[in-house]
Amino acid sequence: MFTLLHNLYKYCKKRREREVSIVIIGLDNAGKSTLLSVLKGAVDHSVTPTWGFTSETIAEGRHKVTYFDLGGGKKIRGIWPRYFSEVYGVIYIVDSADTDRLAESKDALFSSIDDSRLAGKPILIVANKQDLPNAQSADAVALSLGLDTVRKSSYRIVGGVARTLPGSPIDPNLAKGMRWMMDMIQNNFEELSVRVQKQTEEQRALEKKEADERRARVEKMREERRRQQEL
Amino acid sequence: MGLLTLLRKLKRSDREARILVLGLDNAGKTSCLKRLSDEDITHIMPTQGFNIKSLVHDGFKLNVWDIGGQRTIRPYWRNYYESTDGLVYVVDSADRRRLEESGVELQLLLEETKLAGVPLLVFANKQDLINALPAHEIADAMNLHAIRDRPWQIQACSAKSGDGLSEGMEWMVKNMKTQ
Ligand SMILES: Nc1nc2c(ncn2[C@@H]2O[C@H](COP(=O)(O)OP(=O)(O)OP(=O)(O)O)[C@@H](O)[C@H]2O)c(=O)[nH]1
Ligand SMILES: Nc1nc2c(ncn2[C@@H]2O[C@H](COP(=O)(O)OP(=O)(O)OP(=O)(O)O)[C@@H](O)[C@H]2O)c(=O)[nH]1
Ligand SMILES: [Mg+2]
Ligand SMILES: [Mg+2]
Repeated sequence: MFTLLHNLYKYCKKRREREVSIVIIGLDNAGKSTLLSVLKGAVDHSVTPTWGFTSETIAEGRHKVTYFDLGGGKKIRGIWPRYFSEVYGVIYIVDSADTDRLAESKDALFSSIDDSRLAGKPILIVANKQDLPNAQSADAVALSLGLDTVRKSSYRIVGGVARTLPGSPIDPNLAKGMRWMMDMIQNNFEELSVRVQKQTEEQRALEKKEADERRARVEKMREERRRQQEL
Repeated sequence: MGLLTLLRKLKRSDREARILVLGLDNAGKTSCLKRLSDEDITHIMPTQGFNIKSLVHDGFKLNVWDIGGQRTIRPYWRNYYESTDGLVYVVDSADRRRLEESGVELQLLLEETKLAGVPLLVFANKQDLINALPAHEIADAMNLHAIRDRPWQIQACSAKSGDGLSEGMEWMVKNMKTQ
């Protein structure tokens, strides 16, 4: 009896300790950092552009979810794929009122979801800034992004307002979208975690190899400099 | 906007914060800081030890430590790690040859336990030079994407023109977790 209980305890504990990471991407000014601040518990109305990486770990039921917030500007977007291996899901944010840039957003979205490291992982698309008068509806945004051509099971689009009033909770539509994402992750957890672990190890190995090579090149350069100084 | 203006905008409950500025020699560390303080930057000599800039506003004190980056001085960097709230790493964006060396030195810093979790601001300096690399290429060459244990930001800037400096510092001050 005791061992049974003990095993049950261990089982529950293991289940409770599920750690997953989710990456938040989308063009600059879409509202990624704003959403992160809301998830963290207090909306930040004075966000500044991200030119790098921030993360936040939040308990969601039995999951410990780490959100990666990356810069979306044209010249920093290139870092996105570096995070694809280790994530369980993607939140892709679109500024629904920035109609001039929907085509650009579509390109950025597709070059991401076509990446094999994201295949089969849930992708939540947020048609953000629905509070703005010129915002396109979530359906219109879906059409502009060409989402009708994507396999439906692994993505969902929700319209919403990331920037809440101070003290207000997260937009219920966004909350619903996030719940969908967590359900998707939970339902496929075993399969996803095996893939994520394998891909992450590969990524780490590659990064280590690159770092070792860099170190060796720098050592060689320093050696040459020393020799020249001695001459 | 200089450092002091930035400080005035802050509403912090903390009394003191410490920012450490590191990077290879000739990267422009001293120039960046002098520029932020609206001082003359035409006659700057390589830093042999360190410069410290202390700013006080409304009971809050910001101490910025600028350490010399010459190779012979680098072993002494570790004397300054203690109780650092923010790390600013300055890179000469036009010095392609030494970009990897700069990245390797940064990697060593990131492995320091005393600097664990400290937010990192990389100043991609000297953007006024025509052969300066854009910030994202520097981020790539320095392997910044491998960092998971702290927030980081790469800010294109020029101590010469003043561009980008206060934006970078604003990010830093916002992201410091002072006790
Ligand atoms: N009206 C409205 N504005 C929003 C909403 N969400 C974010 N914003 C504003 O949009 C601007 C950009 O928001 P950020 O969160 O910095 O955008 P980001 O996607 O992180 O941008 P980068 O860091 O540059 O990639 C800010 O001024 C936000 O206040 C929203 O739902 N409605
Ligand atoms: N063109 C250009 N030159 C710069 C810039 N910033 C610094 N420099 C020049 O780069 C050289 C080195 O600048 P410093 O500020 O002394 O560099 P440092 O990083 O403090 O160097 P150490 O003290 O030796 O570690 C000087 O000749 C500066 O004038 C910049 O933004 N643009
Ligand atoms: Mg952002
Ligand atoms: Mg100096």
